[in-house]
Amino acid sequence: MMNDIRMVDDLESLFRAHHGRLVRALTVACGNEQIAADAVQVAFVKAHLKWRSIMSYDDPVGWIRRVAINNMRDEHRRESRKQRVVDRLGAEPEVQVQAPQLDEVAAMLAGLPRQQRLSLALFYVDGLSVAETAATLGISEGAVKFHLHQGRSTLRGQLGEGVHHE
Amino acid sequence: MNDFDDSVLRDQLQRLGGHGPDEAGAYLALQQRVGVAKRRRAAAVVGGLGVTLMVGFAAAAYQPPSSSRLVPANGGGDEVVLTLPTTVNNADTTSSSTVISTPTVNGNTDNTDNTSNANNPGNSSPSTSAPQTGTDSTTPSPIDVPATTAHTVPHGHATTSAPATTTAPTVPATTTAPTVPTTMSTVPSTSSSVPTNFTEDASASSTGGRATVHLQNGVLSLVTYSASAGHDCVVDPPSNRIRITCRPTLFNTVGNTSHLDFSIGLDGHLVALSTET
Repeated sequence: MMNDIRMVDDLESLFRAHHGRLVRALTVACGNEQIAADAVQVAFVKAHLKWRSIMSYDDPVGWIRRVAINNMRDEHRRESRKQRVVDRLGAEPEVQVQAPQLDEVAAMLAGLPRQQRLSLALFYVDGLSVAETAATLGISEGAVKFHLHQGRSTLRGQLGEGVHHE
Repeated sequence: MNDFDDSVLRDQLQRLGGHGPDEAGAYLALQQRVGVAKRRRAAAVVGGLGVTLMVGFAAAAYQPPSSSRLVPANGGGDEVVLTLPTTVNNADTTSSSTVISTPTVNGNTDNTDNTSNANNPGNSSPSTSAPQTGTDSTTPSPIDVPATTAHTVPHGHATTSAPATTTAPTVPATTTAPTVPTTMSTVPSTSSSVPTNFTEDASASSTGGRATVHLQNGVLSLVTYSASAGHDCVVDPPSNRIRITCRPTLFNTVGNTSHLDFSIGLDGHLVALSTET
C-alpha cells in the first residue's frame, strides 16, 4: 500500500514537472494545443497503467515523451485519412476552428517539414539536448543538427526579413 | 549545443507554445482517464475468464459418440456367447428360410457355404443357420419345432467334442445390423412402438450344442438345434421365449449343463444368450 502511494506520488511529481512543458513543445510541433494536450495525457495514462515497469527505466520521461509523439503522429494520420475520405466523397469539409495563434512564427513553422518542427520544438521549447532529441526522435545526432540548422536558418531569415520590414 | 543556442528563437517558440494547460485540472482529468482504463481492463479480464470457462465447460461436457459404447460385464466366470441377428429380410419370408449352411461336424463350423445368396440377392450377409429343410416359416406357431429338424450331429457320432470357441465366430455385429421396417404392427408380447414385422434368424452355441431360432412378426420359432457329442438337448415348454437345455449324458463326466435362451428384446430384435452352469 505504501509502495502504491509512493509510486503515485512519484508519477504525480513527474506529471507536474514535465506535463506543461511537453504540451507546449508538442503544440509548437503540431500547431494544435488540443491535440498536443490529448496526446500527452494519453501517454501519461499509459505510464500510469504500466508504472511498475516504467519506473525502473533509465528515463521514464523519455518513454512518456516518445509515446506522446507517437500519439500525436497517430492523430495526425487519422486526420489525414479522414480528410482524404471527405475529399473523395466530395462533401463539404468540416470547418476547422483554428486557434487564433497562427501568428507569423506559427505560419512559418507550419511550412517546415515535420521532422524539423519536432527537432526545433524539443530543442528550444522542451529544453532537450541534441543527443536527447536524437534519442527521442530515433534519429542520429547529425540528423538532429541538420534539422536544427535548416529550421533555424529558415525561421531566422524570415523573422529577420519581418523585423527588417517593420 | 552552443552552436544552436538562439535566445530570440527560443523566446519566439516558447511564446508560440502558449502558457500550457492547467496542471491541477489536467491531473484530475488524468486520474479519471486512468480509472476508466482500469475498469475497461478489468472488464476485459473478467470477460476473457468467462469465455475461457465457458469453452472449458463445453469441451468437458462434449463426449464423442464413439466413446459411449456398452461393454459386456465380464464377471461370474460363466462363459456367455452372444450372437447378434444374422438374417434380416423384410420382403419375403419364404426366400429367407432357405438359408443353409454346413452343420457342425467334428467340432468345426463351416460358415462359408451359403447357398441362399444365389436365390436371395438382397441378403448379402452370410448366415450361420443350420439346415432348415421342410420348415414352413410363413405360418409359424409361437414355438414351432419342425418335425424334420435335423439332429445333424447324432449322439456318439462325433469323434471329438465341439469346443465353445469353435462356434463363437459369427457374423460381426456391424455387418448384420438390421434395418428398421417402415411399417409397424402391434404384437401383444411387445410394445406397440417396437417394430415386429420383420424376420430375423439368430444362432447360439455352447459346449452342449447349438440352436437356430427364427423370428417373424414377433413370433419365435425354433428352426434347428443340435447337441454336441456327449450331450442331450431338451426344449423347454412353449412360452414367450425358447430355452434349450443341453445336459451331458451319463457317459460324459466332464461336461457341463448349458442353456441356450432366445427371447425378444425391448427393441423387437432377437436376443440370444448362452450360459453354462
